[in-house]
Amino acid sequence: MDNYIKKIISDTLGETNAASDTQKSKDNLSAEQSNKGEIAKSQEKSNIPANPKKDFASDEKSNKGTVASQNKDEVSGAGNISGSGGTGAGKNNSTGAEKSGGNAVRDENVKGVAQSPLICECLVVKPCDKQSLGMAFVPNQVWRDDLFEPETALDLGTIFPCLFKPFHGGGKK
Amino acid sequence: MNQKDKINRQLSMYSFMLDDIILFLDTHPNNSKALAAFGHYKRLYEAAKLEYEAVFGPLTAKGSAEISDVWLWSTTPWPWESEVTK
Repeated sequence: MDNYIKKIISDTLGETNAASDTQKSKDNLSAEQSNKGEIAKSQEKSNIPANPKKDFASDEKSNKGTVASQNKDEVSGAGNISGSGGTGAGKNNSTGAEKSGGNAVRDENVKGVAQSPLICECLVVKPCDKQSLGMAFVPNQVWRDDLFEPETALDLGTIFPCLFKPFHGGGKK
Repeated sequence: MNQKDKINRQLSMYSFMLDDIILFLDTHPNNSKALAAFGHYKRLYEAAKLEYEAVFGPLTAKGSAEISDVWLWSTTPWPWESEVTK
């Protein structure tokens, strides 16, 4: 499901960005040619990717890397402080590292589940694919006096006729 | 069906009625009709239990109706023992 949503997002971004990129390239061709150096510098400063669609995955990767490196830094930092003998400071820092580390692990787990080959793609429910959204509800049971007789109820598995739902296993023949 | 099996069947029937009414009462604790039905089948169950224990001994170890000089739970046939295996 995660991959499917990502694909929709990337497709949508790709279409809009492709259109805007084409327009941009037409309008700013001369300007880009004259100010190539300045644009390159400004992109570097603001970290805006030239093609967001292309950089969607790479952004994720770089974010992963950043989180991982941050966690490493925090963990090592905590280790250093606790190693230096500051009990209170070490405790606090290690708690922070555990928290951030926990989030990273959770994210990886979610991604791992979504990308697991054990989940068949045919099980993924695609919205608007011959299916409509709906709301499920269970009505409150109302007491009725037409209970099954004790002997019948024991055989049928319920005393309430309204809850008697025999299983026909593949359709009534 | 002998008398023991007959009373056992009655006990199962009334016990099942009580179980299903209990489930209803868990979500409808103020329903007077359900409470009345529970009382009705509770009386039937207790009557069947007394009848069984008067003839065949205690139905459960803890639920023995009478306490005598002998430990009846282990000296009388257990409820699941049929006449054939006795």
